Amino acid sequence: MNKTSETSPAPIQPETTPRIHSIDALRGLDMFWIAGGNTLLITLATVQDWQWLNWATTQLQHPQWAGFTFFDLIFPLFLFLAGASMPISLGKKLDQGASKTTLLRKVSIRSLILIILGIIYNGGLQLHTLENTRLCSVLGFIGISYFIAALIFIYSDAKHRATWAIGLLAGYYAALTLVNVPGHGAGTLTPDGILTGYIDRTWIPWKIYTPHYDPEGPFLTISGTVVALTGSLTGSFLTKCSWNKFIKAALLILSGITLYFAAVAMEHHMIIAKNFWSPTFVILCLGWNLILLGSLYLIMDAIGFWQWAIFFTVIGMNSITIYIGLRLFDLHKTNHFLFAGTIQKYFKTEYHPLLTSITFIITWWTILFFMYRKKIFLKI
Amino acid sequence: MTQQQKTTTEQTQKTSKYLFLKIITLITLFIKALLIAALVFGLAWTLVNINFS
Repeated sequence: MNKTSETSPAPIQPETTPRIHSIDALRGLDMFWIAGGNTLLITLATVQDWQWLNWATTQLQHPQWAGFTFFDLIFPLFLFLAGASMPISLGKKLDQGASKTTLLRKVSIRSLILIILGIIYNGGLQLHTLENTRLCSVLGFIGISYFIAALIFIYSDAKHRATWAIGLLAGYYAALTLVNVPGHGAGTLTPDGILTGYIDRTWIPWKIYTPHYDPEGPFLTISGTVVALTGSLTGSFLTKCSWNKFIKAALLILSGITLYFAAVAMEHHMIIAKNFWSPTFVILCLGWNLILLGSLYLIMDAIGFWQWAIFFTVIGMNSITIYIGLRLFDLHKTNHFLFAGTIQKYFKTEYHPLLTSITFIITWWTILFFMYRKKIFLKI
Repeated sequence: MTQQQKTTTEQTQKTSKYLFLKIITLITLFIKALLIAALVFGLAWTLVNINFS
């Protein structure tokens, strides 16, 4: 008998975390709507007078203050999926024995890059006057929320993460309803009287998005953290729990439906509004997120029918790339250069906007597909 | 006390201890959630009421 093999332990094989197809596809589906899907639907509505299409286009705009449309879900869904990926990215590294300090350093750098990219996205490098430079951004919001959620993820187990999520949301609700805003009193949920708007006006240097509040203001990241934390709990449930995949999908969908009705029932206590990420808005979004993820998980991971979603997976694997790329590079010009001649020569003028929006999607998607084939995934 | 009675008593004690620990854990988590909520509330209150001038 070989003595060496008897005395020295075999190297520990890290537990491999299975890839969840539905997370990548849903992230892609989410990004699709802000990368050209919305324009596609709107231009389709100009040539086809279908009732459902006209209704769908109304869902592609944010409400002025309170209310909920499909477009409101895009940002929270992205944050939720960033949280759901935590057990796959950070959790895998923890399982492999990476130190918590190292992970914390990585997460801090990632968040800082997102905040800086957000300022650049807002035109920060154009060096406008400080009064015209906006610090708050979607990417910055993701950076801060992701950082706090990742910090809690690294140092807490699932039970404590759930406690953090509940505590943060309850505290946010209490602050919104009980803290006295000078000149408006407590619990005023209007654009000029809302607590978070007052904090934005008082504390944010330079420009805020509207005169009264910033929809990506720093205090709102408390709600953002709750969304990311809930995503991480969902991710842990999907990767660590050994239950049957069909049961897991059913539980996600059922939890989503419950949260949806809970939010609707609470609406008369607290309005649903994305502009200040109201607690009811967060609960409603979590409901929809769970329903959507549960449904896709059922089809793609439980049944195993995932190949059909390659179009969205390609987008989902390079989501930040497409978000920033569309801002930095004028792909409309590329689209025009490649397709405008054909469109103008062979199609009627009324179809030009629709066809241009289709070819625009083809243009950027082809670039992403090339990156996907070459396994180039730009991650921060 | 018969062996069977002894086993039953031990089982009951174990279950009681398990339930007791579960309840304590739940209460601890509830208190923790309250403290986190208080922290958020305190932060908001401070941001509104703090005055440097």
